[in-house]
Amino acid sequence: MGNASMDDGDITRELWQSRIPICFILSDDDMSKVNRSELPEPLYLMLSRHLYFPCFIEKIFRYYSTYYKENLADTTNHLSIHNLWLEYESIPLKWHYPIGVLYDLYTSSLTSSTCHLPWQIIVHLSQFPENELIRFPDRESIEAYYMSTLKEADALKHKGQIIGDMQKRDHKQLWNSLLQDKYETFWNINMKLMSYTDNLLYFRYIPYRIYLLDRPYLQKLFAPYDSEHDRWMTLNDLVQYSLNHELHCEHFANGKKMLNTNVNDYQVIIHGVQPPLHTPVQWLSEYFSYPDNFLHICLVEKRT
Amino acid sequence: MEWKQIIYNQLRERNRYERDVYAEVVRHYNRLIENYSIILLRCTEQERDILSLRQENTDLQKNSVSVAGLPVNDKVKTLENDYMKAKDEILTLLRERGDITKEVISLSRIVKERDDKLDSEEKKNQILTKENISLKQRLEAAKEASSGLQKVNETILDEFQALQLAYSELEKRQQELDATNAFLRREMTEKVEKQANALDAEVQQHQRRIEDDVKRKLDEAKNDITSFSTPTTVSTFKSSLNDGKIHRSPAADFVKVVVPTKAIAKWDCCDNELHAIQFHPSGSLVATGGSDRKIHIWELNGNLGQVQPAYVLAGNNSTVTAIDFDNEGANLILGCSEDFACRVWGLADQRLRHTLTGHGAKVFCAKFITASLIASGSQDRTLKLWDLQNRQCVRTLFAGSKCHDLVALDASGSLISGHFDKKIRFWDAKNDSTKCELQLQAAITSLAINREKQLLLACSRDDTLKLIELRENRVIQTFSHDDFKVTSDTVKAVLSPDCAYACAGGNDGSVFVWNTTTGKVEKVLNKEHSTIINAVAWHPDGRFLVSCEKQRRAVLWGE
Repeated sequence: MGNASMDDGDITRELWQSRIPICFILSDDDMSKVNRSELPEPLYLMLSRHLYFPCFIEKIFRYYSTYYKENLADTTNHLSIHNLWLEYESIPLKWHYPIGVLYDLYTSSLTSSTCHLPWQIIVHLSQFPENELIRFPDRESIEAYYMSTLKEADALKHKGQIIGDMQKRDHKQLWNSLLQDKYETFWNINMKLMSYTDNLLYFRYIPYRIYLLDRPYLQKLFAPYDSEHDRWMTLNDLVQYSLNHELHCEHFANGKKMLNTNVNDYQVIIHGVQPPLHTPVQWLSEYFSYPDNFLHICLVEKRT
Repeated sequence: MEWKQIIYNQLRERNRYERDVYAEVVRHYNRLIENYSIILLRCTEQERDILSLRQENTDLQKNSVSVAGLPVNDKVKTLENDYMKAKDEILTLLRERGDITKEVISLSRIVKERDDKLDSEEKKNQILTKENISLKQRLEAAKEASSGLQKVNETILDEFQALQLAYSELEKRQQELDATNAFLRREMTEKVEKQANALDAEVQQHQRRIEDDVKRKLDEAKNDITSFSTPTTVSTFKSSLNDGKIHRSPAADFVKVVVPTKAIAKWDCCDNELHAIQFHPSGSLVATGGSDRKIHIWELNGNLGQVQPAYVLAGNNSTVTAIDFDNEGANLILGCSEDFACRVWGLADQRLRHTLTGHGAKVFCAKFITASLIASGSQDRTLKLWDLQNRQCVRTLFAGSKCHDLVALDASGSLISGHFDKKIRFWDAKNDSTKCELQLQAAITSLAINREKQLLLACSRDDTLKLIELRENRVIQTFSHDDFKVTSDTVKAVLSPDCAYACAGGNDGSVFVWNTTTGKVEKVLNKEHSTIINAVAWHPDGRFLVSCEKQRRAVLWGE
């Protein structure tokens, strides 16, 4: 878990260079309100998997606002940046999930066709769905959300010691190098967060979230090393344990949905790939986490 | 670690699938979109331009439509009429414009003139204000100066008043002092007269006593003659009686005069010539003066025969010619020098007390008459009497010839002076003229008088010493010697305190001692001096003789 040299660096570099082509199309409602003779063409962007949609909201809005010059002043139309929301196949997209997670979760499961690229997202400028979505935040809020996720991860891994010892400028540097796509500066500081404390050779607990359709994500306490049986825990163990534990909780709460706890019925997707199920969880947490140090795992039911 | 490899491969596959395929396309697409939007913009602008141009075109077309309705000739006529009208209008307008421009030019000229006038007025105004300011400043300065002067004036007035008060006070004081002065003078003259009378009385008494004494002795001798019968003594006595002029003063009995036989001490006084030497009345100090301008005081230890330097009095600006000590106990020493002045020092504090200037030439001699009266004689042919209390010359006696030496007769100021013109002059205290004169054969170089003021020893340039009796002003003895030569105008000769001997120094360095009664040389002291002996002095006790030679050596002679 700590003895890899070149291979791990290659993997993290490949992870960093991930991009998804996304095609933003204006909704029909809003298309009708355009007061120019030309209708806006779709907007194509290559976005990183590990960033968030609110980082690009200004760019999207600026592109479409040129077609609405006069109408923007008219507040009855409700066309404003605060009313902007994204939708994929009638699912409003949550802004606090990384883009890669959203893509893996929704495209893998909903449609049958295997090719989903470019990912076509519909941009709405009005009729914000208040019930289902919180409004897109500004830059500072998304940064704050990122930092809090990071701290939560460190709390699970090292009881929050390392992130607490880091200075504020290191936190800032993490976020800025994330926005500016600077691999070296990001991993300079992230290495500190991947170190061990308390004379252990592994993290205390693994920070991870398991995403399933139509239910909130699962997050449990899971140690990467079993000291009783002296073996490293694998991805399979982690998913199995989480599903079992969730089912257990559902029983307690008399939940209506019944969870399928058979791991083999799912595709386990992280970063758009399916790692072998016997991969050690400790290694995954160190080198395969998202920049917020969490392992975001999507479980998609297999087609039979 | 094959799972790592699997993961890695999967990632590469994914990236290729997701990213590589679409990256270029998206980029080119975005660029096309940009270009498209730019072109759109230009297009809209051009459409706007076209619209505006079309609008103009339609306007122009509308204008031309109205004209196009008439036939051509009428059209031309109407055009011509319009043209003429327009030309007329233009002409009138041009004429009007010409008039207006003319007016404009004249008005502008007027404005310029007014501006120039205004400028010149302003300049004048500035100059005047400057003058005004400067005048005001001058006025201020003048006022300040005048106030200053006033203040000064006031202070001066105050000072003047104060000075006037002081002056009036001083005048009053002076009058009072004058009155007291006159009164004191009167008293003093009365006292002096009384003193003179007393002295006369004393002298008479003294003479009477002597006569009585002689008578007594005669009686004794008469008695003795019967027992001793020595004719020589009788003869001597007789001769002495016949002369009756040589007296041995009994008051001088305590003085034991011995003729010195040998030199007891010799010392070098100063670096230059010695001109004067004098004993202090107490006999313990010797003063020497010479051309080093200082008076050296030496202590004499009579028992051991030693002479030691005591101190030096300075102040003279030229050679010291004569020294005198006062004999009234005021402890003053008088030195006169060739710088035309006499100076008085106090011996106790060695301080210069008085400087008496007034002579027009070298002062050759000066003597204390009293402790506050000094007589001096100089080369300017005058004698001056100085009062030490007023520090003034109270009398000037015109002698007509250089005065080489003088002696004081009495305390009132009677003097005897010896001069270059071979005369000895006797001066009266009361008036300024000579009482009588005595003519000798040659210039007189020094005078010495005995204690009773009856015998005068004069040294003259004809190599002789003359003993003069003062009652009848007659020469009774002449002393000379083959080797005794007087070659200077200021050689001093002295009488011994009991008047038994006369002493003088010759020009070859020998000291001669004559017996006054016999007139013969008693002793010749030589071998000690080498040059001319300028001055000699006899110790008041009579035991020592001191001589000084020109070549700075002084010798003490004794038993």
